[in-house]
Amino acid sequence: MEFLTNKKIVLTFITVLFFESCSKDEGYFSLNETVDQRVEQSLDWDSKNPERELVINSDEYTIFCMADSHVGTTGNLDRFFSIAKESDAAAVIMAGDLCSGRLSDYDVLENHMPSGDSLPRFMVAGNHDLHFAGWNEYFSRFGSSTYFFTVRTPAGSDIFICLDTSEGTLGKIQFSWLSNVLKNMRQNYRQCIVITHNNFFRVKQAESTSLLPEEISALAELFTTNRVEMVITGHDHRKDDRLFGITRYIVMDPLEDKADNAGFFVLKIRKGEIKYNFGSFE
Amino acid sequence: MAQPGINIYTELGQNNISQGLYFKSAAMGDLNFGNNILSSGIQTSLDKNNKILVSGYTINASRYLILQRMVVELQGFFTMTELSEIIHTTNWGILMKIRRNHFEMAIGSNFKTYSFSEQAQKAYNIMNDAVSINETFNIIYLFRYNVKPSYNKWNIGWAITDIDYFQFNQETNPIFKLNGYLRFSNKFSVNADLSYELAGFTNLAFGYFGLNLKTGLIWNF
Repeated sequence: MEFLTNKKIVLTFITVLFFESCSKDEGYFSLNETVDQRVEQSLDWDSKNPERELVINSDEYTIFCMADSHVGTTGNLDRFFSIAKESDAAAVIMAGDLCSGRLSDYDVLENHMPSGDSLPRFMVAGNHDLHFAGWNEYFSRFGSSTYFFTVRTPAGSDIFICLDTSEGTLGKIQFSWLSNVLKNMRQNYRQCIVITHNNFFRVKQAESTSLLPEEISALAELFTTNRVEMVITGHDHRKDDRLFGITRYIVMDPLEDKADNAGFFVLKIRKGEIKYNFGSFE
Repeated sequence: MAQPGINIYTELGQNNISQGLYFKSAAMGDLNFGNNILSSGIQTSLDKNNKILVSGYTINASRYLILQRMVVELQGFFTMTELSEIIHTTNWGILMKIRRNHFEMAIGSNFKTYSFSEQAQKAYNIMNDAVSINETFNIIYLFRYNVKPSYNKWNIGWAITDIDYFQFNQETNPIFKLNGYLRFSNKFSVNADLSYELAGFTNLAFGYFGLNLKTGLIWNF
């Protein structure tokens, strides 16, 4: 009898979870689109907007990178923008999980972003940004999450490729798009850096998931054969830095206020070479 | 006296990184002697674009033990899988399996290493300390429920797991399976399983990654 009662509780829980996840209401599990649908929207947005290029009048530039701000609160986010401006950063990169996905948190995030004129920003969505049907908010406010931008200096140009891994996979369309961009454009640029939210390797135990092994291998092959120098990710909330093949895989500490290890990542191009360091608020 | 057996299957599937359908085939041989089993197998990829002949091999050793009046299979394994033309993974670890009439459960741990091939190391000037990446103490598991008891001549069931013949996902990337078999005699049976893979499962923002169908036969001599 007790077994049957327990079984009923489990079945009820699973049923509630199932219907909640399928719901079009703005609940936590509401994802109203697949990764392929999001990528199609992003690529359509890209085709209707001019290609993004930063022109720097110096051979050296610095880009500040962060992920996992999980707004709500904005203490560290404000400090991050402030440090980036004081350091004369050419741009900031925001690699997903920027807020909780709630409408109110998207409002807070948008209100705390510096204007594009004062500090150019390049963003990608993370898994938390999709909750509460958050993709619609993300897309309507910030646009594409699958695109590339370039940085042109007198000595040469670099390409940054931004990918949407908020669902734990690139999906078919984005994988094909990435292959084409690398195949057709990589050789025109000096450095190639990939930005995405989901970390690749599971080098530490965590409840969050990385990409599947087959996809990791396919991407690592693509990055090696096309000389991708660096992949910058977040998601795991613990910084990591390792070289696999010729590609350096970076995981950033989270920016969120409640994290004891809150931090960011500073990417510097000096004499055409990549230099970098992890930053903290201590 | 040792009793040999053979398990042959073909796999047809599609996923987010495959260019259309992929097609693989594998043969596994095993040798039962007393409470022990030694098994080994190879997998080949039959895609027309594929340049890898042997896409995986595995060696397993098992021993049946009685613990708490239950028969437990303790297995050690080593598997190598070519996931791309220049990168392969190795997985080794241990697995403890328990089978009841309707249920099959397994829990264990594996160590995964992604490595570049020697050819790739030379072609891309990969430094020695950047040849491989290790993922240690991954949890591997299987929970299977069959509608009929295990001695029945046919069965259908479902399973959740992160392991397959030549595949070891992270524990956070489960595979959902529908499976079944038809036993023609004590020596010969056919089986099929349909696997559905999700990405991002424990991120709670998940989507389709892949689907595959395996059909095979088991023949115990």
